[in-house]
Amino acid sequence: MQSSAIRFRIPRDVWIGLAALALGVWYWRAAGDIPISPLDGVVNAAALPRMLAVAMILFSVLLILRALLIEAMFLRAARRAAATVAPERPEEEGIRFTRQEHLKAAGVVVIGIVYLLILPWLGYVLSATLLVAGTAVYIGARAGLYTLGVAVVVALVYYLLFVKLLAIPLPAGLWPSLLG
Amino acid sequence: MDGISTAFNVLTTTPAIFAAIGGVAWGIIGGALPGISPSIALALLLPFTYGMDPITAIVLLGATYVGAEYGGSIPAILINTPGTNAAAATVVDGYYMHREGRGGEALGISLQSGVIGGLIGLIFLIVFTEPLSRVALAFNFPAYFALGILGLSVIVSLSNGSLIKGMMAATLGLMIATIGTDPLSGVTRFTFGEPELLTGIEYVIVMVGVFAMSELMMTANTPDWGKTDGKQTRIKLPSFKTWRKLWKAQGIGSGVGIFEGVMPGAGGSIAAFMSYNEAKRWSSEPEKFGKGSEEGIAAPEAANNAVACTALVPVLSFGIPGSNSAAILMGGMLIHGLTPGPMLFQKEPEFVYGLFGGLAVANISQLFLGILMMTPALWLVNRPKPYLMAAIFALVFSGIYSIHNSTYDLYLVLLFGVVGYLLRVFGFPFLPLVLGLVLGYLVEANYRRSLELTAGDHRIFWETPISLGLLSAAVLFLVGSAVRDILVARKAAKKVAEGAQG
Repeated sequence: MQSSAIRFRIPRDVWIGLAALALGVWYWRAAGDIPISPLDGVVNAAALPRMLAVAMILFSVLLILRALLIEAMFLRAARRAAATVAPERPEEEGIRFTRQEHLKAAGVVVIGIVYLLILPWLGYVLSATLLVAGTAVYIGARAGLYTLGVAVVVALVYYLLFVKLLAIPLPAGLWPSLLG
Repeated sequence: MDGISTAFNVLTTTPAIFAAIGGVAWGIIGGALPGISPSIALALLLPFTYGMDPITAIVLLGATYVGAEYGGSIPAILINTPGTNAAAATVVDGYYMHREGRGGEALGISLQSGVIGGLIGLIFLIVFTEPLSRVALAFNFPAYFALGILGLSVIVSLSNGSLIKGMMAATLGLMIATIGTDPLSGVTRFTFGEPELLTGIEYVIVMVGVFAMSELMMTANTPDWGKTDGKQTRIKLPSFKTWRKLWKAQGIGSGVGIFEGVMPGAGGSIAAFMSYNEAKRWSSEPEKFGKGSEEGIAAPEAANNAVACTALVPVLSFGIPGSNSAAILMGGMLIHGLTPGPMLFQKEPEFVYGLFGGLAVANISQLFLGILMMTPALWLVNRPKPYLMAAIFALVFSGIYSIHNSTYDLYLVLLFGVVGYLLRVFGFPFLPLVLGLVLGYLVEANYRRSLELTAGDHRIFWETPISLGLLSAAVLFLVGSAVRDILVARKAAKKVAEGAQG
């Protein structure tokens, strides 16, 4: 009687389709704000964005319908199975990560944002050292002097590469003003 | 002969020759690191090309692609982990030979086959690109628009994943391309009052974000790769006697690589596996495949290096890239003000022949760079993954910052990293997005210019024979792909039903 427990579940692609639909609608509205220029020809600058918005909305609806159709086919097969074996749900496209795994991936972005916030204050070498050390520890390296040493070496090598070799200025931070 | 003298002149008067050697060296290291695909190795290099002259920059990128295809075979043979997707076929026999104590021999076969495949692919590139671009000279505005649409539909149809998701990714790429000042009317679009967006979003930012940044996010959840035991790492190039046994497999690999390279969406991995199967079919010792066959390494390695050259045929002839790496290379050309396509031969012959010359240097120098770079590549492969990934993160940020000296670009990289991550997780293909981005201007500008000619009459698109032919082909590809999707869905439904019946 396993199959009787199988109920309709909103497939992941439906949520993706709804998000893309919202993007399409928003893009359509934003396209309406594109100003009219006297240089506009027969086709103005908003024409293609409007077409793209319609295309995105259309594809989103198709994605939602496809996902619901697949779910309906699965439920029909499950009902047919009745008292026999419950069928396996069709595999979803992409990768199935747990919430923890998603949070771990998002942590990399957070480290990047923190780096960008401290960069104007601490300058390149110190910020890059913290970025390398922080990321390495976050991904699995042991926190300690060795990791810090690696981070210092990497930051210094990049500093020499960009500033000395390629003559590209990198943020110095508050140090020049503090040190007079 | 003009082409040869032009190439020689370019190579002797610009730093392109050093770029070719440096590109191969970086490519071997990038390819050897599992998780750094050739496209990521190229994307990481893009910001550094801004200050270079166009020939040096594109030769550097092209040579990186060449080197990365060989580099991928190093961990495939030594640690049973392919450095690139295209090296996955090399694992089977390469690692078997390593376990038998013949790792150095396997590395030598891989290197020699890669050089041969690369050179054969390069000859094909040189011979066929120019005649193809002459065909494309007959193109007008509607034909260029149709070509852009065909390119997008072919990539959408042949990319991994469902057709609908491919089309959504392409639409998203085209949407990103509309950000900034409209080049035809001068009005701003989707800039939200941000002055940094007035010139649009640089290709490099999107590419580094979706390829490299998203990989860094994925890597937070993946375990470290295996490490080499440091044995049998001395490359032993095949003797003449051994090479006589390999030439057939190398020929098959090169042939398959040439074919797959010019086919949009195919790429090195399909070429490698196809050539492996064909080499086995035509081998006098098919039973040895999977048990340390030399031909099992020669065929896929010749194939993926041939692809690295012939993937440039559609880029240079029509301005349509067929793979992620080719799309990044095309992005590099656009950054330097070069418009890939038929007019490139007319306007920039020095660039085209210089690129051919640079790729020739890259392929030949790979033979000694493969030996020279083995030690540093292995040293890096043996470093713990967290340190390498952290160093790549800092390199991404430093490289992107150096373009405009702006942290705004870095926030955009993070944003596109999240976009790339979501695309990976939700099963969307990357290539349609990147292609939509690089073809956005071509499609829009030629669409609007065509309608200017006819005061808004859309019939111009099917009254122009080339445009009609290309648009018909685009429709055929999409319909064919839709039918394939439906058949796959029906097969999956049948499987579910059979599973239900026990």
